[in-house]
Amino acid sequence: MVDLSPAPVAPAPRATPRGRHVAIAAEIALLIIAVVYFFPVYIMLTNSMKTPAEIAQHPARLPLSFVVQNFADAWQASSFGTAFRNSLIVTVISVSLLVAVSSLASYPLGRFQTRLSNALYVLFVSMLMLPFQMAMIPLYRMVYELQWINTFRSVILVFVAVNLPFSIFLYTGFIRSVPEDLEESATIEGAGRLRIFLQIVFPLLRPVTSSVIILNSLAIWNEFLLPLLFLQRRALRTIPVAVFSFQGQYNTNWAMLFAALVLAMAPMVLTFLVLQKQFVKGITAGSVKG
Amino acid sequence: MKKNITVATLAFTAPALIVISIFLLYPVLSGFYYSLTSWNGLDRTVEFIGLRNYRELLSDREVSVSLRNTVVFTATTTVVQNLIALVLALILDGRFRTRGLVKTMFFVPVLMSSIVVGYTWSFLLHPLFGLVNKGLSGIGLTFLALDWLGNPRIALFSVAGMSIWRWVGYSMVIYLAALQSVPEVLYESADIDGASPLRKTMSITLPLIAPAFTINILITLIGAMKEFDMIYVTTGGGPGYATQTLAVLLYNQAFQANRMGYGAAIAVVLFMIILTVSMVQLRILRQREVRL
Repeated sequence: MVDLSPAPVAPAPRATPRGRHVAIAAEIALLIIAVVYFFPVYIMLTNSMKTPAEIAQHPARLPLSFVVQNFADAWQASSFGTAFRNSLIVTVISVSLLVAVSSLASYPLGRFQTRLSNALYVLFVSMLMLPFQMAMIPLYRMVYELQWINTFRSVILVFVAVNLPFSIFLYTGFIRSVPEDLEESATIEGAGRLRIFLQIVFPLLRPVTSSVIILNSLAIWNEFLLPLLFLQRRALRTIPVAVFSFQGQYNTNWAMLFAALVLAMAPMVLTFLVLQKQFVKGITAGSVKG
Repeated sequence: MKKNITVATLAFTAPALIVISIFLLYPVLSGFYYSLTSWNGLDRTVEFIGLRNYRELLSDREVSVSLRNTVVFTATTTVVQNLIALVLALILDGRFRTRGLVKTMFFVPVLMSSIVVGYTWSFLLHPLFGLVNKGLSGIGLTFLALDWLGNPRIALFSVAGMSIWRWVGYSMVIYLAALQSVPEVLYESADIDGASPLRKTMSITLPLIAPAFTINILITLIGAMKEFDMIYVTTGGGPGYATQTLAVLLYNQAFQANRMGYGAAIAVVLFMIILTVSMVQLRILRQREVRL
């Protein structure tokens, strides 16, 4: 992405005093809209710290005190520690496999202009249109027959399959834009293709690898339906499913529920705050070039 | 050399081909087969019943209601989400001191799961103690203080609103990136020609960010047609069938009523709709894209 923030030297013709007033007004208006937009997040955060009585009386005010007990109770009642571990295992393994399998597959697809590689590329990309729901019922039977219900591998393999087409699409597009020179000199030196890929090509793919990691982590971490179907045992629940069943039991205790919601969103939001730039780049990478 | 390349292509793509064939392609294809059976999800044997599921679909009131809800939900989210995101991106593209902050505030909902978004909004939209209705009554708009999720005539739009709230930041980031890749030179020459801001937006900006339209509209369309989580955790498809879309109906038939065969037939219909709509949309929007 090219950074086209205005050059510091050339003053824009519209920077008249009137123009500047309009700009400031627009900025303030947008800030107000953003604050209103953010209000639900504020409500979730503040009410997670209140007692139930305080929520009932003053739901919109800042909390009088910080009721840490809400978080302790929610953590325990939803077995949050276990759920967090499960989400982490499923997400990390799925995303690592996705990176490995899709970068490997995209290398010949982006590099060779043969009929085979073009056909395979079309095959992979056309699977972008397949909705998970279409595969859901036969998958359920397959996983059931294999006795893979309540195993992480069922969820992980399906996550990899469902997200492969988009990851291959991203990688292939990027590989096409990487110059071939380095690989050629390595070929002359007699290095095998796999070694060339691992030692020379893969490190060059870092920007798109981070996009693939971010987009897939976001989707897999928050996915609800697939773990709901395949990970039914309490000890194997991921965070979204744990919060869902928690809500079924404690749906009148909003203090505890909000604490659980804050716990559920915290890992992703904290990661985002640290890696903000990469997130935004990751999302726009696959789209702007189209 | 040629043979060498063929072998390398197959070897490198083999893991992806295997995983996709077993866990995506084969299930999708056998989905067509299951739609021709009366499998109940428990029996070892699967009985073939021909097109009977499809005949039932045509006369099932629940299906026609769910189809209509899917269309309304998809149209609402696609139009409203893209409009809001585009306007926000156009404003943010200007010189903004607080751009980073505003962007973050709009982006945080993207990071939350449907469960978190759904429950928080259920609290805000509660007919009695919900803050939305309290606020509306507070500023004298008591007639607008409705039962947002309980009134069958507006519940679908309330759920669509939650989905829009969650995803606006995502579309906005894509529009913004496209806007920032429009060369400044074009605006400068338009300024010399004395073009008005509106004229510049219509004749330069919008045509040049057409690829962002294509991708954003495609993402929202497909996402909305498949949406399950948000509806399932907030209204469960109710009140009555007011918010039941094809995706929710499919889940209920297959996994609650144990009618896997019938569920598979609904999945085929949903798949056909998604495929047709995406193809048509891609064709129309691709034609309008301007290449630099």
